[in-house]
Amino acid sequence: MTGKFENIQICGISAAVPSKIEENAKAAEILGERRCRKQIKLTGVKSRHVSAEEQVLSDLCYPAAKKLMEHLKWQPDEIKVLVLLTQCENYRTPSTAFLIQKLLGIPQDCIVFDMNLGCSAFNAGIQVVASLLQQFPGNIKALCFQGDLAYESIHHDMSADAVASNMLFGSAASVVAIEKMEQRCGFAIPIDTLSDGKRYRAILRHYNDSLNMDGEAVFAFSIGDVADSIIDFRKKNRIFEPDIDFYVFHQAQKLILDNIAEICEIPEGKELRSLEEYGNTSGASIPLSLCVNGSRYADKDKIRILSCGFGVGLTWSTSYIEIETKNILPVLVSDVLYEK
Amino acid sequence: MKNMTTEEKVGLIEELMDLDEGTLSLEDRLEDYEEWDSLSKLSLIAETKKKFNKVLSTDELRNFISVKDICDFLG
Repeated sequence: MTGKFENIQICGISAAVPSKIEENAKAAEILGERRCRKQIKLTGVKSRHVSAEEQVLSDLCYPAAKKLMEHLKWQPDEIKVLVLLTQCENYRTPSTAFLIQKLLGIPQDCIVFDMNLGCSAFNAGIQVVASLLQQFPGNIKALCFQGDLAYESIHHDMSADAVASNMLFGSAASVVAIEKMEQRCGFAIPIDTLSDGKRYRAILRHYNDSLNMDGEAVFAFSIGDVADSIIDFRKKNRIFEPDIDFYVFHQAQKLILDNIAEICEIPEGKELRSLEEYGNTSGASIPLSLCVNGSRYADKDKIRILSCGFGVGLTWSTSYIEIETKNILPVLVSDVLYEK
Repeated sequence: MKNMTTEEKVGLIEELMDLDEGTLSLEDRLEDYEEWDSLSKLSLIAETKKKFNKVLSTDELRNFISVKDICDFLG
């Protein structure tokens, strides 16, 4: 079902990654040349940013938010909702969002919590936060975070299969500044979220275990349900090609993205990606893809983006938003460790 | 459903597996080829979606033992 928000502005986006870059070609030492080459070809990931062992998610969320708030001139006491969407919290409990609240100096008059979602996080987060804001009068500001971490993984004491599957993922955190306006905005945001619990096992990780992904089921889901829903979303919401400046999809892997682009008939040059240099960065992949491609929209004041995040759940969420390009900040690189 | 000859279907499978034309015959067992790997399987899922607008299920994929099984599936 499509929800529509007529009083919500996406005010800004910022993202942060750690500095260490792991080159996937190095995995040939463990996988052999042929398997390594095929894995790079399939995934499309040549390198990824990886976290040091001591880095936790809040270490990336906090500087990304601080930079964005300074840029937008937002004060901590203006933030009334703070939500983090991740599968990689600092602690079992409390929500990592509470630490971020402390680091940003946000006072008590705020709703704060984590949500356990991955690749669908960008649009799912906007949908939840925008909905929460409706209950309050006046102009109300919120911060919505997304992110997951990947650690250095080309180790000789790891199995070849583990190394191969880790070659996909990179570390990143992102934050979206959202404001509910007193008056209706010029631009109404449609968001459509679908979920399929029947396929919950397709991407599953038990506590203290590595990720189990049914590659074929996820691929079939991506080029089937997800691609079809993008086509359907455009039709239902009467969004035509000239209305879209860019498409940005969850950076799952290259074969998926190329096939979605073909099935949805996306014109050449209209997609923004970050997969090759940053890998699959889970819920942060859509905002990160915006932050690292500034040169693609430098000539425009505002851009209209059709985005779709899809994955673990399984769940898939599509939206059409407008944002001022000066408020999409270039990606921040940070290794600083903050309180944890 | 697009009408392909058996030859065209085998040719498509060879292309997906990155094998030279003429390598495969109908009775060949897929597991005998190391080229029948994840990339080939995913490529087959993609091709069937694009050509026939049908998404191969994991079960259907697992039931393909020989090249002929895929050809029969392609209709």
